[in-house]
This record gives sequence, structure tokens and C-alpha cells, in this order.
Amino acid sequence: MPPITTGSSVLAIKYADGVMIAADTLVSYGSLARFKNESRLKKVSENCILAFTGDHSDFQYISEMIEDEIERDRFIDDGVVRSPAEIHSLLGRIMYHRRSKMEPLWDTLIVAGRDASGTFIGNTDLQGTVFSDDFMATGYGAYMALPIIRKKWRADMDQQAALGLLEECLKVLFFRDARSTANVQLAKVTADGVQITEPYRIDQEAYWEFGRQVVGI
Amino acid sequence: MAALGVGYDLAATTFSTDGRLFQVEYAGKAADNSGLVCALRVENGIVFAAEKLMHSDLLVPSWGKRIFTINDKIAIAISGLLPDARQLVTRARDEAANYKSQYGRVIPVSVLGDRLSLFMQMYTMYAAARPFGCSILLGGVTDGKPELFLIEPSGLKRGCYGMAVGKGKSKQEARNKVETLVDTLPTMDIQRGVIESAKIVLCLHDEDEDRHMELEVSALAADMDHAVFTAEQTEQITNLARGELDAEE
Repeated sequence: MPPITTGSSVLAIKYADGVMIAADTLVSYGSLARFKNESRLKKVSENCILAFTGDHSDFQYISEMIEDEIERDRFIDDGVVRSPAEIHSLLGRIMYHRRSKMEPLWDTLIVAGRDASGTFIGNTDLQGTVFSDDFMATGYGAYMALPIIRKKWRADMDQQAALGLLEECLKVLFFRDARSTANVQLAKVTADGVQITEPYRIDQEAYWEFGRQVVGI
Repeated sequence: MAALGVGYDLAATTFSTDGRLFQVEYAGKAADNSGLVCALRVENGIVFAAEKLMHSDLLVPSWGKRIFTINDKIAIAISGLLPDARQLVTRARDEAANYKSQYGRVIPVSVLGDRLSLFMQMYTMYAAARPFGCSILLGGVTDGKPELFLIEPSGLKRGCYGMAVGKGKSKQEARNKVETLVDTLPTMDIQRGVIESAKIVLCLHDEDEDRHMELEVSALAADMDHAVFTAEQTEQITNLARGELDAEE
């Protein structure tokens, strides 16, 4: 039951074109940076992404289950497609059910996507708590990135502004979260569907510069 | 005819004196009691065509599906008691999803066929249940090769190059027409297969007896996920098929 291989923070914000999600690509094994290039953002349908903080294997189980659910919808072929909000609701029920059996899936999950009725970001966790909002962060992000996002977020941010905000938060997390790396991945869900970038390193110059400013600790 | 199975046909658990299970045979008759459905195994895929009999002008054509997607590479066309058949479709989807979850790959068509035929057979052995009153045409692609099976209410599964099931007379005539195509099927492409199967269904539709029908056509191939054609595409196929039928007369 306690988490073994774990992922750290995930950040998600709504912006003008849709939703944007970011996470680093590290899965830790306690204090060991075990899997340094593991994607923690999963596309589960044409308009929805799932991301996790917490146990990696539980997330693999969850995302496979949701993917199968979506696939089954596709085969039934009756024009009914699960929206991100429906997937979020389903996950919330499953997480609560597991916690009630004292067998939690040890994750905090972000469900983010877009459908005909608009954009959606939802959060559910190992206790079965369920809520949704315009922006969200899990893990250490909830402590360190959320205050930054609260200050700088606007509903009509364009892609560049949204990307800048998330990269700033990722940088802060890299500086202070001991279970993070500078290798990150971004995803967005827009009218063109789901796009997940290849992993890339956040700006290194900036962080060496920061190092030069640290004196006497 | 009424005295055919007297006494031995009341339960699926009773053999007749000449070793027949009448209830299963009667289920077979129920399985033929619907519009024609035809499937062809072509070079790299399977095509399905079904005659949806619209008994009333009040009915919306897009419902009453007879061809169902099991997964991207497997589909089922049904004949007989449609609600019974839909139960089998659900079962097939469950079996396919389970197989994928356990073994990590798409279920081979013949394995799915075995599971469905065993399932159908089970219902022929208990007095408390009745056999499925439907036949299914199960077609799909496994490792790039297409396979087509007919599974009857008895649970008997047979591999086919092409097959038709449906109302009495048209079933036999349809099978005759499929037989004339058998030599060309191994090199036939999907487009031609779609037209040929549509022709069989359209040609054998009895305008006087059954009046209004809707054609339902679909195809799947090694490089093409199963899809039932849209109304526009079906109309094009119908026009092409009718054109060829008229030219042949």
C-alpha cells in the first residue's frame, strides 16, 4: 500500500485555447532518482489527459482502466463520448471506493481536458476527495506553485503566457523540491485535440545564475 | 409438421428418438427469422452487409443496428432475435477486452469464436434456459489475415469464405450467389467486396413482402479499423450496387 515508485508535482491551468498541463519526467524510488525519463502525462482520449502525483504502478493501473473504458465507448459507436468531467467523476468514485476498502490507489490525479461544453480540470486523490477548478497543482506544486499561479493566472492567457507561467513554476519546483528534475514535459488540450511535447530541459542558464546569487548558507 | 417433435421438443434437455435436439433446431429457425445479412472474406479484410427491415415509417433508420464493432479489428453481424444477439455482442466485447487486458494483445478471431460458441452451446444444455435464437457472423483480422466464422444457436462454429443468413428463401439464394464469388474472393479488395455484398442484399430484398429496408454496410481490414459506413457513404454504395445490378439484367 505505501507508494514505492513515485512521481512528484503536476501543474494544470486553463488558458485561452484550452488547458495546459506540465510535469517533470522523474519517477523516484524513495530518494533515488530511478526513472529519469518517464512520462507522467497520459492521453486517455481525444480530448482528455490524466496525470499523477504518487505511486507510478497505481497510475499505470488507473490509466489502463480509463483507456479501456474510453475504448469500449468507441466500439459501442452510438455517438456518446465520455467527457473529461465524466472521467473525473468515475475516477473519484473509484478512488473513494478503494479508500473505503482500506486499499487506496496512492495517487493524486489530475484530469484535464476539453469538450463541447468547455474546458475542465479536476482533481481526485487517494482519499476520494473530488473537486475541479480553473488551475491546479499537486504534490509540492500545491505548496510552491499554486501561490505563483494564483497571482499570475488570467482566464484569457494566450499560449505563450500560459507556457511562461508553467515554466516559472517548474523552475521553482526544480530549485526546491528534492524529488524533481529539470527534465519536463508539457501537454495541452485544444480544439486540435491532445498534444504532448517531447521532454525537454528547463532553462539551465537561469538556474546556474540563481546559484551565483546564493551566498553564505 | 405439427407432429414433428411431439413430446421430444418441450425442453432443450430431451433428445428425440432419432437423436435430435428439437429445441436447438427450433432456435435455428428463429435465427433465420430476420432480414438478410451477408459477409465476405476478401483479400485483406472482411465486409458485412445487412438488410435492416423497417417495419414502420415511424422508425428512425439509424437505430436497429445489425453490425457491431467488437474492437478495431473484429466485428459481428447478427441475424434472428436481435436482443439475444446483442447479449452475445456484449459478451464478445467483454471477452475481447479481458483478453487484451490479460495477454496484452488483440484477441485472435478464432479464439473469440471459440469462446462465443462455447457460451452459446452452454444454453443448449439446461432445461431452465433456452438457446440463443440468433446466428452471428464473426469476422476480423488476426496478424494481418482475415477470418470469418458463422456461429449458430447450437454453438457450432464454422469458418467461411463468405456466408449469408436470414429469411428462408433468400438465405439459400444468397448463399448461391456467394458461392459464385468464392473463387474471386481471395484476390478481391475491400471496395469491390463492399459492392458485391451490397448487391446480394439489395437484389434479394423482397419489395412486396418486406417493403421498406435500410442497407447497413461495413468493412474492416488489416490496415483499416472497423467502421459502419455513414448514411452518405451507404447511399453511394447503394447507387453503385443498384447500377451494377441493373446492368446485369
